[in-house]
Amino acid sequence: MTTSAFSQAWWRLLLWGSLFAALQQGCERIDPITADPASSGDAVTLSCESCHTNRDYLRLLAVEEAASESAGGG
Amino acid sequence: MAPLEPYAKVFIDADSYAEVDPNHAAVGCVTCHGGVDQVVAASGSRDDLWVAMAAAHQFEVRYTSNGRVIREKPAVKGITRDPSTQPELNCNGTGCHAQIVDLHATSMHSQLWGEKAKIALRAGYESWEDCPELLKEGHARECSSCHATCGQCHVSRPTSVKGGLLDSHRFKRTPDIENNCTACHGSRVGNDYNGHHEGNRPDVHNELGFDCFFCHQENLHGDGRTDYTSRYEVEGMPRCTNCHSLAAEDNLFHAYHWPGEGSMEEGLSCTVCHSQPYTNCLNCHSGGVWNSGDPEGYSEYTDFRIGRNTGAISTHPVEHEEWVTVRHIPVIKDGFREWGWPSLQNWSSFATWEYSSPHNIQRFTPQTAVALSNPAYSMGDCWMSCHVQGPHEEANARRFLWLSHLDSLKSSVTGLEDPDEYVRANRATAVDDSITRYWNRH
Repeated sequence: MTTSAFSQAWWRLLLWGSLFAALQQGCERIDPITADPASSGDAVTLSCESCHTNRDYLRLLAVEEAASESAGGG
Repeated sequence: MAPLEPYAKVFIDADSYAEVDPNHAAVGCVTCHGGVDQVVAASGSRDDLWVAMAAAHQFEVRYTSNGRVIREKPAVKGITRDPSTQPELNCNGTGCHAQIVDLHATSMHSQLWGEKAKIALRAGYESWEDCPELLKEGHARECSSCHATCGQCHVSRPTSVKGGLLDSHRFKRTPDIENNCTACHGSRVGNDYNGHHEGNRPDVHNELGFDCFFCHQENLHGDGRTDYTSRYEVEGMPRCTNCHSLAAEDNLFHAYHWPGEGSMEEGLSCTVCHSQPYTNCLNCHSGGVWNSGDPEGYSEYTDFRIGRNTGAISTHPVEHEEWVTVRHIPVIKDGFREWGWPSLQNWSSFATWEYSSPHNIQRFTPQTAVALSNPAYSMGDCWMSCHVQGPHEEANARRFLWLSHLDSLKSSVTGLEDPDEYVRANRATAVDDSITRYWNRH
């Protein structure tokens, strides 16, 4: 592989990588549990139970610090 | 015990909490935990949900330079992780658990009266009440911090094992042995009871399927007393004789060694013959070294030692037993320096080998080996498994806490200012090198 070909391959990899990262960030959305009819767009009304009974929500949102600060009874 | 995954610590495995515990669900989450019950996220994106969660929990979020939300520890705690840190407010706010809340405030579990009494005496004070705030604050910070709220026994794992809901936030009347009892009492009791020490079997009561509460029927919520100097003073503490009431006449061993019975009037505690080697400590664990993982920090070893019951506690349930199993619990003069307390001036005023209750009982142990080899255990050989004489003399001698053993151990106990003071502190508990008349007689 010549230096020029290598450079082109490198730029293609970078371009597709960036596009994939942007796409992933844009897709990082989760389905609302209850849509607030009074709100426009994707507004979501959340209660305590909305998150704490939803394993996927907690996995997405809960991190060690947050969990340790909010776990019931230690 | 492996910590739970972060999500699992707060996950309720049901469509609603009312399905799990309708009584407590009627109270509502925010009544106990604070925070905000309903919030609106601008969208379902992760960042907007994070902002909403922060609003519900009343903590702060931080934005990166590109506007992305990242987690932030709460600057102001708007939500209470464990409402039972204020039981009078949250467990008895509507008068539900009034009696238990009142008793628990002074219980052994929440106050550690025995430990406080010992610290006071070693620091040179008559009682915990007399101790300066510096000691009390250090104790509250390090010892009392996981001893023990209502929630840490009935709702979640205790903080000592990083917490986490037990069963979808269901309030459990009876605590779970593994997740609650031995989560705190794991080093001594749990390891013993489950037979985790190399060469040991689990406690026979464990093998028979008995849980902690089969024996521990004392009121763990306390009885209102505030003058305890030892946990052994608690009314209703388990005694072997509660079940094994006629054991004194069971066999020749019992007839000769039962406290106050037979020809050996000095008597042995049951554990002298029926327990296996158990956890002992080699140094102190104040100043955060308990879980530090520092090899120079806290360390344990397995041993079995018979020493004298010094009778330091007048209401001791085994006060008539002259010989008991003793556990090494080293204390040193500057053991609480991390609390800002440079010197326990009376640290050696009583033994650092203390009466112990190993939770690894077996009917047959090396001490009762004669019973296995010779069911008749005649007078001719019954002394062979413990008494320091005959073909097993050397092995048998290792079971006793000799003064010479203390002398050899003093160099391995870290932090001793005066190693000889360590020997003097335990002189009353140890066996003098001139053998007691019963041990070399048959």
